[in-house]
Amino acid sequence: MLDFIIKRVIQTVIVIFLALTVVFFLIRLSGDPTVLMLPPDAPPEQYEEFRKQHGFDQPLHIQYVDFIKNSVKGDFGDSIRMGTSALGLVVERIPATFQLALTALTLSVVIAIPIGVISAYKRNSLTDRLGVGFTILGQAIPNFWLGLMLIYVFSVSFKMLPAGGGGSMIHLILPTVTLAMHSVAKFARFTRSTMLDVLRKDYIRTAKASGTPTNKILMKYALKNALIPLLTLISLELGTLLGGAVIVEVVFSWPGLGRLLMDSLLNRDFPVVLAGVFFIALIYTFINFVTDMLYAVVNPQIRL
Amino acid sequence: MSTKQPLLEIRNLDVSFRTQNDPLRIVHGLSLTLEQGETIGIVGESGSGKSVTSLAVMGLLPQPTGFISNGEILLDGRKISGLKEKEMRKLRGNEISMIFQEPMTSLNPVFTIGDQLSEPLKQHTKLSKKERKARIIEILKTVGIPRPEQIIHEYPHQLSGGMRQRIMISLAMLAEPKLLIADEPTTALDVTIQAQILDLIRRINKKKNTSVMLITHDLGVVAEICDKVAVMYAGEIVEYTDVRTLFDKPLHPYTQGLIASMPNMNERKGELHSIPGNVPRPTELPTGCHFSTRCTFAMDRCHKEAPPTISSGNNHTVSCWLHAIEQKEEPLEMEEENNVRHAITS
Amino acid sequence: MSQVSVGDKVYVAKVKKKERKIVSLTKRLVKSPFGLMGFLVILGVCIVGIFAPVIAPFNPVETDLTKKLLAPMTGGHLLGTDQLGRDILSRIIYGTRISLIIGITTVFFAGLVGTTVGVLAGYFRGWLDVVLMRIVDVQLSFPFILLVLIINAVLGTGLKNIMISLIVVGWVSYARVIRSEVLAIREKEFIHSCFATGVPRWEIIVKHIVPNLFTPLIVLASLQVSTFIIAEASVSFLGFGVQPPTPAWGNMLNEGKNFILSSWWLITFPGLALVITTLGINLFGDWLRDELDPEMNQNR
Repeated sequence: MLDFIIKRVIQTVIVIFLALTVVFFLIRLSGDPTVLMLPPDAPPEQYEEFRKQHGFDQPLHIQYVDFIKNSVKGDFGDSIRMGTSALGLVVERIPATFQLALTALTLSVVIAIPIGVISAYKRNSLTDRLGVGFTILGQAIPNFWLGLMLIYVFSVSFKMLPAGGGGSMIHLILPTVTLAMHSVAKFARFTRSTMLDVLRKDYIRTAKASGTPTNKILMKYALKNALIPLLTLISLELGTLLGGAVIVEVVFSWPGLGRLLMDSLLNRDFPVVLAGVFFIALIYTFINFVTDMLYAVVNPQIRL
Repeated sequence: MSTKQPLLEIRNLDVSFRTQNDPLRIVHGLSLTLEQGETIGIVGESGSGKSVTSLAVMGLLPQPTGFISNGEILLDGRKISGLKEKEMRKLRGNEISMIFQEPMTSLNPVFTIGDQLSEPLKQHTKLSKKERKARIIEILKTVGIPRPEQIIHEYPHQLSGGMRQRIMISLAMLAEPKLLIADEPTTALDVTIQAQILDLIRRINKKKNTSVMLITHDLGVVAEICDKVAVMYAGEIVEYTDVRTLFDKPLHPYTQGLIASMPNMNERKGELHSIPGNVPRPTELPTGCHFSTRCTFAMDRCHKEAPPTISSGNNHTVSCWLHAIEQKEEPLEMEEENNVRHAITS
Repeated sequence: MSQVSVGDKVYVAKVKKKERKIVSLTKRLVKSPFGLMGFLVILGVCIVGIFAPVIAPFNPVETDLTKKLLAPMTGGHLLGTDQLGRDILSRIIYGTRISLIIGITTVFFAGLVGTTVGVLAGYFRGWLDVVLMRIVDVQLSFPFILLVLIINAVLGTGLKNIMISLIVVGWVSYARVIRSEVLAIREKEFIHSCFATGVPRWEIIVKHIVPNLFTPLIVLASLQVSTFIIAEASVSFLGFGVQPPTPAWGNMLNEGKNFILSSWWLITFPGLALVITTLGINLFGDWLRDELDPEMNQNR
């Protein structure tokens, strides 16, 4: 168990280090941010000073070493645009993004699993066909368009819900539904197919032969088996939702990490982009790690 | 005799499966009776419909495709075929239990043995949690599971195949059923374990007076523990009698073939006899006698008309034209008969 | 020589089998309502894209401020006009081309790169495998769409750059799947007989391994097409992809969202075009997957 954890921690560190390296070079190779940040008619001295201030006058490899040294300390420099600590800006936005992603994840699980279970149990019935149709449609609708449509219907036409902004539960509704749609479809589909597999198993026949009621067979004996692969999918989906949140946050002006990243990318505010990327890679690898642990915990056949 | 109620009575049972075209009849005109405490063997090659018969008795035919298209099944004189699922559920694991061929996959991998064993008790008794545990440990001891107090906290994958089959048997026996159906209970196990499991089934049968319906392709197993035998071929019973008569005087050519193809422990035969060909698929049944395509004694008539079921005294019935025509020839050769005797006495 | 021909025979047999397979696949497609519907949608999208200049009723980039924000079915504009008076229908028809180009070329090139990497890693194993797979791991530690965005922001906007960034990010999933396929094929007997008879390495790879990757590649590509089309639309929607005035569904939605209060048609129709296209591709892809890989997808 301990061996496994240590091995995974080392792997995680390597991956994050490589990820940072890749993004650093990508961004630096794409051009000098000074040109973009200063007005074109600024005097050359001002350019010089700006470069010095942000370390852009150093050779690339020295910039890289400095960058790695600093990022280990959690220092990604100051935001070029705002002048405050880049990491600070990122950390400030993380709760909002997490709120959105976690609510969407919870919503998808709560909706999708019953749909999948019922679909599988009533295979080929009308309910099943409706469920399958819904999942196929749900997977084909891009989330940003769904967001626009929801805004049009609920904010513009019926004036029921706010079109954007953050702060209250009311504001959370539309972005959550938008973000959750794809996951609902994905989970429902997966739950259905996994349940269909499980319901064919010999041990389900054993449970029937013991006189177990159908509900209990479905919700206890079959679902727990289906949940093991499903759990992996669900926890990995959190990462996907964090990525998808970038777009949804822009659509709904949600004050999260995604919007900050978009703004920073548009303005070539690289310290903020790097800090944001660092955080997302960190969260992503952490989720992977937790998923593996979780899998080992729920599956009695695996002993680490 | 006639006033006594048999425990299980199957009358003229047809089981069919829905297909894209017409429903396909898998079992046809099957009748048998089983008294309390009796053991019946149902023998046949794979595809003969023996497992389907057992699932029909359990009310576990695959849904929604399988159904009983004719006939009835009675348990203790009560008609159980066509019962509502809810009523049937009260019988399963309670009055009728079943153990399956595959001990490796028949237990749920993500629940402990104790969890799974407490299920029939939860469904059919009002025992408290503590009483359930005591009962489970008791039954595990009777089926010969060592250190049952620990085993109940373990998962199926931690146990061997033989152990798992013992667990399956204890699962079936928990509610002390009147009828135990065992579908190829030893096929997936090693030879030494096979003997132990058969011995266990026999002991349960003797001690609790539980009736046993044993589904197998192996006549050796039948010889070991059964009182009577039904030989099935292509969905029908072709010969039905008590075990001694079957081995002493098999009448149907198919039964004779099965007996001849038994490996003999005592005598080394040069080669094993085998019946050429396979059981025909339900879609491709030959007209007349279904066995006619593989039968060495097949006559013209066999290919045209279905044979009648002939009674040849003391509860021995056979469906074969050979015996409808006053048994003028003795089909069994002496040499084979000797081997059969050896097989039984050994 | 005679031993080598064993492998050749397998290969030849496979090719012949494949021809027969395509014929029977077509027969089965006609019988499957969803698969057929998906196929017809794809066919329709291709036709619309290819013959856009013939089909489109107006010039998609011609502005006419006197006709701006016309509602659908007015002034001969079936789906209305946008804020610059351009015909929405014609822009959607031309926008099909962008999605087609993305769906075909990026999936192809990402597949090419990914397959090459996967084959090399899986065939040669060792340090090459380790290095390549670490790169894959790093890429997979980012959400797909975020990485596309970052690369696009760095490279700059435009169709060419969005294609590059999709290829750069997209090859990874191919590489992973293909590598594990190759690892499995490598252990097959007919490959071992090639080793034993001294068939050159490149010949083993090209003649014996690559033809066997056909099925997983088709399955994977069918999944990727709609993912890539949606990704391009998302990136263009965020302003990093295809730029106006070139019509693309994503940037039409981006421009249209500013007029959501007054003109619903600007955001509705390009989105519908996108949904119908991805739906068609997914339906066809699901069907194809069930046909080619029946074991893996019994009930999906």
